[in-house]
Amino acid sequence: MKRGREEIAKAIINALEEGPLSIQQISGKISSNWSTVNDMLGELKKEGKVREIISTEKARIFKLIRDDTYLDIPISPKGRKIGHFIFNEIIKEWKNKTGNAPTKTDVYKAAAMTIEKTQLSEEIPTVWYLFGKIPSLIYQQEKDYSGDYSEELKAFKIENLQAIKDSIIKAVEFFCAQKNTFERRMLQYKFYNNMLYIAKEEISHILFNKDLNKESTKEKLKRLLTEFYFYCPNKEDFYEISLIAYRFVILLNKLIIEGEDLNKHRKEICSAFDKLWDLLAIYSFFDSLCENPRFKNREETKAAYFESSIKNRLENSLEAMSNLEAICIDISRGLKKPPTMPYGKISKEAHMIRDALSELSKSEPKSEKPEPKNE
Amino acid sequence: MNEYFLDQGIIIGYASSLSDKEETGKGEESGRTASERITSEIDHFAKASVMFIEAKEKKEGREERTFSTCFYIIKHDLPKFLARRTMLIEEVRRKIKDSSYDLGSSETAKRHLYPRDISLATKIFLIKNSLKGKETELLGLLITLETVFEERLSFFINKILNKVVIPIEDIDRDLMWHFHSFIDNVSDCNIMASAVQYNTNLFRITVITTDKKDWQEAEGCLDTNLNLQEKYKMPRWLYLLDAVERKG
Repeated sequence: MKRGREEIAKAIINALEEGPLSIQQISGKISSNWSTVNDMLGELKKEGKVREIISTEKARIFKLIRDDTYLDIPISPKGRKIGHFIFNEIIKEWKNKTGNAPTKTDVYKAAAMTIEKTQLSEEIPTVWYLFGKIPSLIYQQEKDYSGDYSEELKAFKIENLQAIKDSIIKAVEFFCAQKNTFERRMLQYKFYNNMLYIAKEEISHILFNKDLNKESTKEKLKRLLTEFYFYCPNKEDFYEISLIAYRFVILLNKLIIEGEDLNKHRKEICSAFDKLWDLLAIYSFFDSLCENPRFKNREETKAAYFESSIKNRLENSLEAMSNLEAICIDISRGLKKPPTMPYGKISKEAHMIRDALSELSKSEPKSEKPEPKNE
Repeated sequence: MNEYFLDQGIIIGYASSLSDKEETGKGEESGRTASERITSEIDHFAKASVMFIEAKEKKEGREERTFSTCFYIIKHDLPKFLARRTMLIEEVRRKIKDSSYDLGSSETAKRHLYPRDISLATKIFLIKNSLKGKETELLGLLITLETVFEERLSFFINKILNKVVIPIEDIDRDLMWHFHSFIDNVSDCNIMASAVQYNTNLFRITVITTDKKDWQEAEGCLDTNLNLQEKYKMPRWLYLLDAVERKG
């Protein structure tokens, strides 16, 4: 019997709930022919309900657009319900403890801790993103999460509600003891020993708030930048990003060594760091999501959810770096004498490193292929 | 007007110099004995490059002398060299962060770094053992050194070099190939061909080089090809350390 348009649309959306699928796969799942599925996907795309993420001759792959998860990460109805329950309980407990409503950051910090402690990560993956560890389910401040979830959660066979509530109480107590959002973020980073995020937070704090021309600030910034670069991931797929992070560190060091007025260039510096952090954060999201068994295939996960985000942020970051690079080039054109190593830094070790790096020019093998002769 | 065509070694030597005070012996040399201070060939070339440039600036001034180099160095060799330095530093970072990491094992390193580069990375990594501070101390030192190097390089290109000559696409391939029959290294052949092309009857240059062996090999090699001999003349060339000793 022929199915109506709405029925087929619903079936396609249900099929995509678990994750991205090709037209062929959808067609097989919902027992509908390829052409019908293709036409319906076109309509759903226009309505903003699905997104085509891979478009090649061999396959076209689609995913659901979800307005309540980051990067349309799939979450089951069960996970969604648990997440809403957790948000609701956190809001209640936070108000009870402090007399105030929690901020988005507060909810995320407490939720991430609760999800992990009660082993609910399979239902609601937690990820590292811009401001720390968060659930992949978006907390919408304007939404009303209040209600009794017990029957719905029972239907999903979630029995340990009290254990979840106890965990929430502990998480709220842990975080609300801190004075403000900055301190809560730092507490979370220290709790998980995420040194990259700690360095990033300290750098941001300086770049946005401090007098950048004070000598002590410059020295602290140099040290933090080294630490920031040091704590970048070692994974193969991060290589290109780590070179951009390195570039930022070198450019800022150039501005510092030249004695340039950093306050004058604060806008460009902050913009470059922001864009770099955007890029690093999306990679952290991807990397931490892949720790979840559902997303353990890195290549597939990257292609399904992150390809275009990483590409866009890479471009933005490179553009911001080139703006900073232009400032450095301008400055070096105005120099009256060549820079030298800072006072007290010309150690035996500095000479050894300098010698090794200079030897690179001699290490090219003799057998590199020359370009073709003139015709 | 004296024109000095500078080989890559001079440019890198100048950029590698750590302090202008080294030449007067008043360097900020913590922890090094007198004999340690001039131990390495790199030290020699770094100091000599600075001394040569400064001597020429003082003696001849900008109106009477020109420093030039070729596009092959500026657009091809130096960017490649800088990229390899960057990758080498990244490899060292990975190793400092995770001591079980094998230097050069990443796909990017395998594509861009040579086996000898990896030995240099190991050498740098082992310097960590003589630094008593935090694990990031070596990385901090690498970053400072690299910053100063790039800035000195920038200063050299923008403020000291007067001219960059012979676009890469204009390098005479026959000339380059002819040099290649005497000299293995392709970069050196391109640079040599650029210098020779730039040197004409009306306009004689002096090549200043850190590569005595290659230029000695190249001397007279135009004589083995009549066509090239008619078109070109080998420039005068001076080995940097000899040029500095002559104080001229």
